Amino acid sequence: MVSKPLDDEPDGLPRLDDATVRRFLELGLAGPRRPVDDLVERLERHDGESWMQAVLEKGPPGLHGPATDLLVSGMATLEQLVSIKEKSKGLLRRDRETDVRLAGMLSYFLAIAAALVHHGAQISGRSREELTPVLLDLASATPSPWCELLAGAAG
Amino acid sequence: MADAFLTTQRTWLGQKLALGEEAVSEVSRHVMEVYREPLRIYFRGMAGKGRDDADDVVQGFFSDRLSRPDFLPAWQKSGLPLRRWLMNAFCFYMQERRRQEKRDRRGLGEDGVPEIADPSPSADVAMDRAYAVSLVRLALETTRAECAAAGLGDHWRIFVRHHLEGRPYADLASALGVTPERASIMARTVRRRFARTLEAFFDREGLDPERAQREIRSLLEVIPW
Repeated sequence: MVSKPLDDEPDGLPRLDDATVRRFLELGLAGPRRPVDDLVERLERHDGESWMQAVLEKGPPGLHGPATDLLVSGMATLEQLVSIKEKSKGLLRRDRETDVRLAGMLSYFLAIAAALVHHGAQISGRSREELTPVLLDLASATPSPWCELLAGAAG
Repeated sequence: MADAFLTTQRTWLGQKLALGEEAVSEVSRHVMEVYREPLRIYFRGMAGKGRDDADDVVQGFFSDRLSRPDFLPAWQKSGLPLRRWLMNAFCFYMQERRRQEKRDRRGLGEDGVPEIADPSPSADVAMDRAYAVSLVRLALETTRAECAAAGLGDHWRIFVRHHLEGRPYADLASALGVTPERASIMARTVRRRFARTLEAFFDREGLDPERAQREIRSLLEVIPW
């Protein structure tokens, strides 16, 4: 799709009435902090995109080949995705270095997303209610085509 | 005496270390940005305010108090929310101002300077509401600037039109040539940045994330449905 700007951008913010202020304050209310919030913040750092690129170039744990082919294009089998997920989870548990732990978490959720999108399979023990906001948050912090994969998995 | 001196020194050094010149300057800017309008509204709710101009009074308050090196460190030590500290300080400032006016007029042989009464509870609520508006406005402006700098202009437009104007993602998506799902994800990116900006504002006021959440809830209680 070709992007075109919304050219009717207002110069200033509109008047903030009570209902609007309330709505925006509510946007500031956060639930309990989740482990994935660390990953989202890592992805949103100035070098987040290059960090993710480096993680993906290494390939998902336990599997060789371009991550885009395996996860986005759907070339990985369901068994391979389960293996990636389990190995990522292991990495997440064992390794305490933050970036490695977060890389494991990224692969973990990408494998889950790929399983949902390409195989219609839920390979995580998490409920959909728990998983959907996590996938949407990750989608909103990742570049294309990962954003679309994660958003597609969120349904 | 020597011990008292050393204690003062330690306290002063402690305050300097905890706050730092740069931090003091940052908090001062924050105070003026966030509290100018709320304090104007608070002033208007004061009985006996006379004919003073709200802008002049609030500017005078900032000039007087924020130039005092111990003003912000004293707030830090008080444990009070910054808003309450400023409201108290503003009342003291108004009383000082009145006393000075009386002295000046007596010198001129004039009477009739009204007494400043304690602000009514409704003035407190009006101040809290104005604070909430000011905070949201500044957080939106900051988020908008950050989005522009990060090349997220379209993300910002979708966010503001959806959350501020209530436009559905499907309408906004077609204008940008993206899917409604993508539009919703783009808005989510900005929403998180906005929430972080709010959190950063509260952090400047000495509130950790947990206290910031409580503060948001207490502000929601004073905003009418």
